[in-house]
Amino acid sequence: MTIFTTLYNHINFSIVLFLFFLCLYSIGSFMVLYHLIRFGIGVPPKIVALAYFIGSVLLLFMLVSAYAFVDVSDAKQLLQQWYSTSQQPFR
Amino acid sequence: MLDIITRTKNTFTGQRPGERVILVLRRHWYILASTIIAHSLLLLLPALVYIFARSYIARTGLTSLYALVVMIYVLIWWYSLAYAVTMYLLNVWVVTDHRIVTSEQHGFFNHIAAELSLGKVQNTSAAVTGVIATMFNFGDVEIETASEGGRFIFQKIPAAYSVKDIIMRSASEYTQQHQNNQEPHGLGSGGI
Repeated sequence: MTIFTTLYNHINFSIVLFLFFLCLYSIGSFMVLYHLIRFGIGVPPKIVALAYFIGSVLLLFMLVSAYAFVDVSDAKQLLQQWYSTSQQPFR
Repeated sequence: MLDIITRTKNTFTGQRPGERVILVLRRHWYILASTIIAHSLLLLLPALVYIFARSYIARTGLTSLYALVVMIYVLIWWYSLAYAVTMYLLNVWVVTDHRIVTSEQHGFFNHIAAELSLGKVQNTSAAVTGVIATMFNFGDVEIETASEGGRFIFQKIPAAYSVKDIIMRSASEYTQQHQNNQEPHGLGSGGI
């Protein structure tokens, strides 16, 4: 039980979740790019693959920036308020 | 430098040596445009939410969190759009000087390929039905084959009547060149 408590206290779950999402997105993007380049016939699939790649890089950069600047303290406070309100008995 | 993506001979998997591609057909751009418009509407959703909940988001200090959620939404939207466009681009019909090849992609792990020798083409018909199809000039081309019950249908392709004529002309040229059941070009075997 101690090991779980230690892990819980030391692992930042938001980063784990964020990296998991990035990993999923990378795998999906690879599938799209691979299919477009490997099986696409003619010019349009290659152009779409290039546009998708550039768009993905830009969006990922913006997502990482948004994650770096996110402030969850207010959200936590809000959740605690909601939780304490829901615990009050009806009158 | 970008020649690699702007110059192509329309080669495809399973193409035989010496086989010349006459037509590469996809569904009409109208089909793709309707998908893109539907996706564009989905992109308006975060903006609409922000317009209606702006004061609440600002008051509770959730602006940065909202920006993160929007970025995740936009990334998923971008992937979804790319997936739809990929499926559109990978559904192709290829007419070569020897055969007709269909390649249908219904998902990353669901691919259907079929081919038909031009020598087996018996009859071809084109149908343009509906106001939008007539306006944008797209329709279905049906190819009947010598084998029982065998038929190929090109769905919602642009310039259906012209495609029908090209297929019939290619089939008659193929039949003339292969009258003695001999291959003048010495093509090897292949398959998609």
